[in-house]
Amino acid sequence: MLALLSLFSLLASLALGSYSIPLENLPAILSGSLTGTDAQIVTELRWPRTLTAFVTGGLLGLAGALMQVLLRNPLADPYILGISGGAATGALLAITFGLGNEWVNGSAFSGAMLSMLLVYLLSRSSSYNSHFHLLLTGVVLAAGWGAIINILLILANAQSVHSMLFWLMGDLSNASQPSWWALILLLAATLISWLVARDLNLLTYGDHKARSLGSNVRRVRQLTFVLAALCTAIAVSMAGTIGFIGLIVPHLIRLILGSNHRLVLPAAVLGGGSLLVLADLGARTLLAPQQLPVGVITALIGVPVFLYLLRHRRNG
Amino acid sequence: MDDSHSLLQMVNLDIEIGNIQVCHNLNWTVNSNEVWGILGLNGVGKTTLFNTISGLHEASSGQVLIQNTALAQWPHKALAKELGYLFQSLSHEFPQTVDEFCTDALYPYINQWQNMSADQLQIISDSLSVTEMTDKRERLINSLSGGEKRRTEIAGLLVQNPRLWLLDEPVNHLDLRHQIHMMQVLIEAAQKRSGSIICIFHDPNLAKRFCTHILLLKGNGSYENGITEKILTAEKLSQLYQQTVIELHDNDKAAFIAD
Repeated sequence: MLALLSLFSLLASLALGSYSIPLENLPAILSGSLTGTDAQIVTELRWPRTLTAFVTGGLLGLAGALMQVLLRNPLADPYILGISGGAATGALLAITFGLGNEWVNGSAFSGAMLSMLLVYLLSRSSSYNSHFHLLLTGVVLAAGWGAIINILLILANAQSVHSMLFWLMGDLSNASQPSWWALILLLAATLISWLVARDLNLLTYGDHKARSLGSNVRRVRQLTFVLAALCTAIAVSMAGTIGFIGLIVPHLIRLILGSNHRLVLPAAVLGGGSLLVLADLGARTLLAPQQLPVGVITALIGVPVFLYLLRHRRNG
Repeated sequence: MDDSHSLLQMVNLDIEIGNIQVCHNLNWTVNSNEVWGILGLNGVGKTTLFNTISGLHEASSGQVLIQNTALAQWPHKALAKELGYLFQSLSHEFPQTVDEFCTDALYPYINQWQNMSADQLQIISDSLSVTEMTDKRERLINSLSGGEKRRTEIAGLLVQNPRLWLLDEPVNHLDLRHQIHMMQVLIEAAQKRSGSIICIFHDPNLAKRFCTHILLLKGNGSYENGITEKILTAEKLSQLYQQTVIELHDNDKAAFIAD
């Protein structure tokens, strides 16, 4: 069902926009047999953007699902450990110095990696039950990044502030190249995390229980942390800090499919990808020709869904 | 399988947690087909002792041997087939069903590429049946009562089916009938593998009823162990709990009560 939703969202995203393209022309355009303006719009504008949206959403869905297990908290999201804060600081610095898109993305990725390293080094502890320590370290670091981000915003000139805000809200309008490399990384991360899916099931009961059932808890936690952080870093450096996908999607999937991560992980990838593609479609079309940052749309969808889930959780 | 096999051996073991000395120079052997009860005051370190036996807490000195092999040398999965641990309590942060919990307990027996075999599905069904949880197998664990949660955790341990069973207050939250029934189920399961049970109790009467041997943790690292008849006396219990305990007799039955 999720695969169908993914396909539907991809096709809709390619066909719809400020200029609609007949759905029956899509196969011919994608196979290259039809050319012209329609084909150009699809292959040069919409396809790179749609693919980037799908991959970014998938990365965030996966990172969220992993982060929730790592922190033993179903309300955790990929940004909670400050990895996105590091990325934002990097990106905003690049924008401050007037550097181009490539630099902004690269700088964001470097910031995310720096933040990941800091969290890892600062929260390394010999004790089990380390999720609480990790969470606190990450949250405090995130607050630190937040302060730096505010300073950069205050010091920036008017034109930079606009780019900065778009970046911070999450924005896909800069996607001009199909991000094949990111797709490959997404597939690899999904596969690797799927290989420890059973260990992740055990980790949800706590480190002690997981260890007593034979899981190599320390190794699994390290792997999960690195995968979640990398997925977050790649997603954020491609599209800024798009909110709610990494929180809502895994949570929703757990409510529908249960807690078996052999299902939850691939479903979170497909669900995250589809949702972001649809949200981006909304961002492009709702106020067309004015484009909204996609993060605004995901938050608008995310807030009511999240509140509903929270109520559901309390009653359930 | 050799029935007199030593399942667990502690050699000159010192355990500390914070500034509490749990045991000093503990020498203790658990052989197959024994049921041990551990008694002691709150905070004396009973759970820490269990954590040390299962590798979750490191001893300050001395050795823990599981089936004559040092604990640290056991591969994780192989150890989980021999040593099972019923925790005092588990928190369930994620929406898991009883069935999913029991399925996850098969972890040491299946690798990533395998699905459950018919036999393994049967083991889960049997475990749910003896713990009287069959009709609740699709329920979310968080929606269960305390006693039902406890039985779910016991069902999971039955699926794991180890040889050495560490039970931390196994009858917590259970009603009187289920206290007796669950202990019988656990002991029977351990006997099937010529295994042994070590059980933390706060009720000396349950210990007396089910245990062949007793370990008293007396605080400040001192301990006393031996067969139940020798250790479980009103006098020793009074000392242990710093509270007068008397033994009442009725025909061939006897019970400890706090005076």
